[in-house]
Amino acid sequence: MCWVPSRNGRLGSRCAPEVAERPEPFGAGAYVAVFVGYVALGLAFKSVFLNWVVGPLFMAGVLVGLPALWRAVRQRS
Amino acid sequence: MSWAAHEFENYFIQRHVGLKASFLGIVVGTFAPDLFTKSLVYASDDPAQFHRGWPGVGFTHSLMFGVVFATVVLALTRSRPWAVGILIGQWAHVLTDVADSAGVMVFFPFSTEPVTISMWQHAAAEGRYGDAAAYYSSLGGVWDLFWLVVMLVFARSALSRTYWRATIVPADPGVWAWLNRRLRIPEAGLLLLYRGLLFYGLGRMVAWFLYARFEVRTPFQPFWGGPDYVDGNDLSDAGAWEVIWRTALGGVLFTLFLVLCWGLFGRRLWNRGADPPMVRRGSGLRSVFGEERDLEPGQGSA
Repeated sequence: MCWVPSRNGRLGSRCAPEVAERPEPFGAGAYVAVFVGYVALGLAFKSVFLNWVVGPLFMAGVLVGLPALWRAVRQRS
Repeated sequence: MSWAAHEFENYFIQRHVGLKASFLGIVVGTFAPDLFTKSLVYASDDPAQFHRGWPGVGFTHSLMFGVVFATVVLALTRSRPWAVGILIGQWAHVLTDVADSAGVMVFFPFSTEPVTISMWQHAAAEGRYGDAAAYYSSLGGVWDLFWLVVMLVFARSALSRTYWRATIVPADPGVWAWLNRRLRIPEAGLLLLYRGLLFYGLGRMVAWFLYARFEVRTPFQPFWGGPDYVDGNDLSDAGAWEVIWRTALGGVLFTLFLVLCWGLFGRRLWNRGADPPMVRRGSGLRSVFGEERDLEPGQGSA
């Protein structure tokens, strides 16, 4: 994780340069796709998705949680 | 009540407090007034009175509630960023909810007079789905859009990964580190959690707007005091000057009470509190607002 304090007094990334320069993990297309999916699921299942718990967690759950779960299942099998 | 505006304003607030408040604290503070009461509101016989009045749970929408909540958190955790975040977030929620017809008792318990500008009707009596449809058929939906634009114009830099690493994490390193180590959430996931509130606000705004337009087809009435198909629910029959006088008196008493509490125990609690190493606080408003320069390790504020 990148919270090692910087040692040069400048405001900026706390990471080693090679970490700091990594591109964004997800492109705009991923965000748009997840957003459209969330709106669609929200309209279909309002009480399940349009709430304070599922809503804020949905994007991380889909883009990070589900792939991690898939990898874990594949490793076991 | 405001809906997605409460999500968008968190990033605007964060952009202006920088390292001095925990973003998670701001979120908790913003959610606090409705967190334990919203579901009860829809089940109540008089939702507006129960939600914003006294007797009822209207005290959750007062500035005093934020002060008490933040003070308890400061006393228990000694975390200044969390206390500041909770206070600012809760106060932002209270001031935003002045816009609906039920209003808020801003200076409870020194004044139980609801303060409102009645921009849109408080529609909890319509049930949760009806409330959403009414909100996004009125100036409430426009209010959400306004805060989205404000956030994008003045605070979109707060969404960047660089900002998250340089400001969000150093302001609250313990919680983010715990999420990373104990729950094994990678940095990409933590960044998505940070941005998730914006995602949720935007998603619910679009979803409920589409619901109102195409599923229940409520009339779109974005004018002051609308929608007119919702019955009025003004909690007070006092005239404008009476509201102003009572509220002003309540404000004076509230301020004096805060000064008294600060002298008796507040300053001691604040001085006993601690900041993360990267935080430097000034005095007065600079102790809460304003970006700060980076510091060398060990250069924290007292």
